Amino acid sequence: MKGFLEDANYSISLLDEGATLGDVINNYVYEHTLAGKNAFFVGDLGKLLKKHIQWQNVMAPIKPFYTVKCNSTPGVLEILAALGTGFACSSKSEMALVQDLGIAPENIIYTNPCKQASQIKYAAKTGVNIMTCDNESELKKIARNHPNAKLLLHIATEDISGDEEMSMKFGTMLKSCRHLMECAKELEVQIVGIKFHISSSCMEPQVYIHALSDARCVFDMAEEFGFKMNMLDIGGGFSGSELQLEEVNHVINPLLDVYFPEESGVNVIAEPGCYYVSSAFTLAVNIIAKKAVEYDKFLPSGREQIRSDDEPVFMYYMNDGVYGSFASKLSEKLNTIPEVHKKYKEDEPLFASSLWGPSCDELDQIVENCLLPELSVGDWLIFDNMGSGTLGQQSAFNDFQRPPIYYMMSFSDWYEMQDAGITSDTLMKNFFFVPSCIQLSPEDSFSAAA
Amino acid sequence: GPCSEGTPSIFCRGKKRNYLYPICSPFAFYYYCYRYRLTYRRRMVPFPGSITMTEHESLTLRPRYCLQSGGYWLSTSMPGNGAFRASLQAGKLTVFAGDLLPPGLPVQLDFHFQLGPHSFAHWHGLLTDSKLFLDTPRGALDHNNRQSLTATLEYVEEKTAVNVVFVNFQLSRSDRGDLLRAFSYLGFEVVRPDHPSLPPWEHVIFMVYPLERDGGLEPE
Repeated sequence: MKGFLEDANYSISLLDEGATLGDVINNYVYEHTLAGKNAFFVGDLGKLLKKHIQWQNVMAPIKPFYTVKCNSTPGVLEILAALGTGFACSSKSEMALVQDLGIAPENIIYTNPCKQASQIKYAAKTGVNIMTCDNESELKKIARNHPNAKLLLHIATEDISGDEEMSMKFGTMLKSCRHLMECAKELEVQIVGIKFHISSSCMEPQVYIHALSDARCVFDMAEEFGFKMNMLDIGGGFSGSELQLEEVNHVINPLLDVYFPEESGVNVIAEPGCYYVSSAFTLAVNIIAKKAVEYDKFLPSGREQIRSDDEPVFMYYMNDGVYGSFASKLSEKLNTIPEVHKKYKEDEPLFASSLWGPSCDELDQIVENCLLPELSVGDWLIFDNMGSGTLGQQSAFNDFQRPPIYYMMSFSDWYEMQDAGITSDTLMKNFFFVPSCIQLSPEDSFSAAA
Repeated sequence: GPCSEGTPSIFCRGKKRNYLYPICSPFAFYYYCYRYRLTYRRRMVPFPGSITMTEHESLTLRPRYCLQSGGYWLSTSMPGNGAFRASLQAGKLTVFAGDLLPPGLPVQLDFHFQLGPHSFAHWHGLLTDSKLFLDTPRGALDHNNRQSLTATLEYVEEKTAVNVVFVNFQLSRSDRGDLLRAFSYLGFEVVRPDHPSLPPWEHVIFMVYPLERDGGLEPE
């Protein structure tokens, strides 16, 4: 079963109208229960297609450069390559991955705020010229290693409400821009554009308004210095919600018309990451241990005790945690509610429960407090919205054995892809057709006639 | 040495007088603390046996004092001698190398970056076996200060044979979430606490930045 998906050698199950994501999950839960109960991911690649269509409808002509770090699994990258997005890479291995797919270097930007010299040299060697920069040390390092680089000056924004991202720590202040441009001029490095980033939790349209006017101001300054500016990167921070996308577009569109009209020849791009992948992936984990504790021991000290009964509270340990797929949990709240896979009665009593990863570490907590029916070791929990920040490139240093990924796409999404003329030879050879009446299993699969 | 046979470990802690400062000054002493783990193996031989000692690399040595000034966590430069053996200037970065303790043990390596006319950011580190462990100073990744890390990492990549850089910070730090996100944005990854490469320092989080050293690039 595990050999079903290995790196570049993967399959995408094509489901006809009768089958749903839920059926796919059920099938793999059944198979995994028989064989080791390892955690696994299911990735619905049709969702990426839908998100792309949504982007084109709302944000065009802003070209998306997908942030590879969010999820660099082969199915995702190949679909996005077929859809024609650009790619924003943060390391040499990401650049190599993307270039292996045949993406032209003009469609790759290098966005790590602290690049290694060997990575910059690699970018130079392979023709990736557009890279971000927000301080003098970085500028000098780039000048030494890639004199033909084309820089996007990353400017800071006022985004202080975002507690999930750290835009306060990245980006150069306006008052330092002039000095940076003087340095760039001296070092003979080209600046071709501006980048800023506003996190998805920022609710203030003001922040976008100020960011765009700052960008215009820096553009003018750069043109004074003789730089030929032709690119504006509005960064990421798109959560995936259509409503949020439309709101952002509503704010920035009129400003773009004023500050960077089409005649100015400025290409506007963005760096959506979790926008594409977050909702496309579901993680199924298994409960490997269970502990019942007394209520007062469970509550963190200081919290009011609202019940005094003897109902137990449960601590469940799962076979994936913060040192695995839930790494982002260390720094931000989980934005997904776990679902119990097995069927339980409507009137089944619920208990206060907490969920933990498999290490014995105090930090390895996934959910502090939720209400769940009583579960047993061997039961499955399903987390959706697990596509972003979970499946990026792993360093050789990290020896975590990643859960297998099962890709799928509904037939209707597949038709839509065909209709839109989106083809990819590599993708096509990876599909296999699953009629809904037959239970999913690799032994039963057969190749779809192309 | 100071270890008695059969004792599985010894613990040395002490202080040394820093004669640049008068006895009433807070910088009159610097403090060190290190632990050695020694394993004894005795060969069973009829004649007086020889004892083989295997010394566990000791990483319980924490940078307790600044190599340059002898003070703990100073962010302004002060003239004076800590216990550094050598120092090297590279632009705004000054690198201090500590005394070599008994050979094979970790060496302290401090990176001081000049942020402004009177302010420096200090990254105190321990170098051992091509791994560098850096202590994360306060305000490490704020606007200006981040250049100190950029410069340090660049120096390490270009001028040393280090393959892996670790930053570490206390679990209890109030800016822990910010640090996790910011370091991760720079390419660092959290390391599971029981990883064999990690020193036995308690209540800290380690994040690793593997240097993508590439033998495949043609020399310029």
